Amino acid sequence: MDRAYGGGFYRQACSRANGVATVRVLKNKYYVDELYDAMIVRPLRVVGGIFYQVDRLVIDSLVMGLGFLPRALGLAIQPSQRGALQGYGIGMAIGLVSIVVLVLMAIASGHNS
Amino acid sequence: MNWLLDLMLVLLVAMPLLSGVVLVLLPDLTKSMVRVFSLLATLATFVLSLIGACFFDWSNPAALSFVKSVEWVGAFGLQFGFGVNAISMWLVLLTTFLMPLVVLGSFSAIQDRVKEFFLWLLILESAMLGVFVATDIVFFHICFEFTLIPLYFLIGIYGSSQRLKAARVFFLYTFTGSMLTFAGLLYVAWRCDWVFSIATLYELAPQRLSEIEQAWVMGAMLAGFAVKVPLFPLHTWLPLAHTEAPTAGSVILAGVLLKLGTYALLQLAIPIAPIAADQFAPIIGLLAVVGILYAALICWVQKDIKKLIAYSSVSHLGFCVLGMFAFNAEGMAGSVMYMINHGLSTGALFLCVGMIYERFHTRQMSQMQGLAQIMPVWSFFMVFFCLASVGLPGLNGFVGEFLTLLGAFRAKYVLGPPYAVMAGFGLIFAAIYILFMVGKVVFGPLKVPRVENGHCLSRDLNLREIVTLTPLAAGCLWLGLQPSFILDTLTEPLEKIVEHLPQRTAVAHYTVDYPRIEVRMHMPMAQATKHAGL
Repeated sequence: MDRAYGGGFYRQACSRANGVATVRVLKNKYYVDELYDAMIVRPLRVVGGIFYQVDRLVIDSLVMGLGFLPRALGLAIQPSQRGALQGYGIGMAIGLVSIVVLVLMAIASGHNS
Repeated sequence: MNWLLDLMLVLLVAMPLLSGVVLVLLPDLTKSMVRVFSLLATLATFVLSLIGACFFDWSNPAALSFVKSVEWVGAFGLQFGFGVNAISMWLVLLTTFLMPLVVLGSFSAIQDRVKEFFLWLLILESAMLGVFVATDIVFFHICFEFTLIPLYFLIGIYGSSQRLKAARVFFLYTFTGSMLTFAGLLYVAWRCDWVFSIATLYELAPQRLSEIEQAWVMGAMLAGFAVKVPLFPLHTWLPLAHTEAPTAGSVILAGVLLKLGTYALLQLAIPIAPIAADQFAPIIGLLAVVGILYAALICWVQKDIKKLIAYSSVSHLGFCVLGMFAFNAEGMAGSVMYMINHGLSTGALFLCVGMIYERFHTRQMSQMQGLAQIMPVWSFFMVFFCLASVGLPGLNGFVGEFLTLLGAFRAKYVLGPPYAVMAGFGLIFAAIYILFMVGKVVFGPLKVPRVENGHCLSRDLNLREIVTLTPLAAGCLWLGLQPSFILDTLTEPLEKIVEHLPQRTAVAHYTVDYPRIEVRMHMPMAQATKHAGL
């Protein structure tokens, strides 16, 4: 009986006190945990999440992009090595012309000196 | 006995390799025979390295002991040069100490292609030991590169779901970097009349190379070594490789492979290009600090325990590099301590996570909770190694962290208090993410994932697993309580490394204003640590 009465009294007192702002603040430990959570924990975790995505998407693709350079070079000159005769013919013609030009330039400079 | 000492290092490097050859040649071995054979082979290597440590000339730790050269291509002056100073000796011991534990830890995890697995492990051990005992750059580079091949197969064959991608990225990433390093090393050798001996290059290279040449050589060496360490922003191969590798691979990667990078920076890059090292130090220090904070925050949002520990390695190795580039006794000795400590505690953490994975087939933190209730022994080890990893005073992690931060703080020319303060935040973050993980997984109400087709292992750790973890725990405790055992031997070899650094000439000038500068490289380590309150 005693306990039940006490419990009832306590409950009543509590429900009355809960309305008071001071009691609420005290009961929630001045909201220090909530403040800490909102001001430090959450922002840092968000930063961590952003960093993780940056790590996965930005930095990784930058490095992988570097690795792609040689491949891109290969892709760029690939068409010339397809086995099409015209392509090789043009290549030969360009090579021949450049050699002739070089020889002529050499002869010309030889005449001048 | 004399022949043994004469051939000590050759035997040490050859022992795992030869055991591997014997393993291949022996026909019809059962799985358990292969496991026991590999365990015995790695144990024998460990015993041999202990004999080596007993006969090492500790009174003169900077000089090379057990020097031996084996002719290779005589016409070009190429040879395999063997020799160890105190720093290499400790890392050799770390390697040989970890290997039997790694083998023991893989007894039940590897069930298919067992022979190949242990063969690759043995080959890998030889290659790693080769890096630490090499005294000429060609032999060094061969071993440095050779470590990639066994690891490529270990990750690619025995890893988890993304293993092929992880193996490919790991190989290409590190291989590309170290090609540039090799070019840089050959350039140094060429400028010094094709001298390959590292000890001779210590003397010749700083004189022969101009400031600009040193900067290029340093850049080339960083290309390979910074990837290996890994230094931010060249670290992205690590989380992938560490997470996908089998437990043994992760332990070796974290325990020894990363140290190849820091070891090479310390023993090759800094003494060969001292002026450049001095010039680059603020940038490298900054990258180290950024890496510490960046990786620590990433750790915090990980859902996979193994990935969390993988990222924590990036953060931890930042401390190692930061201390190294402080160029003072505290920082550099702390950096070497950090290499050993990180090998023990992070290796052990990977083993712990592997044991969980074997039981529950998952590493997701959200799927398990309160494991202390059903796995008290595992929980003890997990909490122990986590505390060692965050640097609880009395355990090993603290010594390295404290000394590297102290070194960075006191470094007057290169780094300084801002670096140390920023890195100090990394310590706080480390405590947060590790304890966050421990709190989730070890404590709280019990939650265990349902395991299909039941696991064959006992619920808590069995005797084999306890035997695997106990030596690591003992090592963590011992180095936490008796760090001077190692620290005292480091002073002289480190002095030799910073011998040609430009500020050494300025020390006298500054002693008037800052008497503590005198502490930098002249004070015996015992005193320095006492000074630091250790």
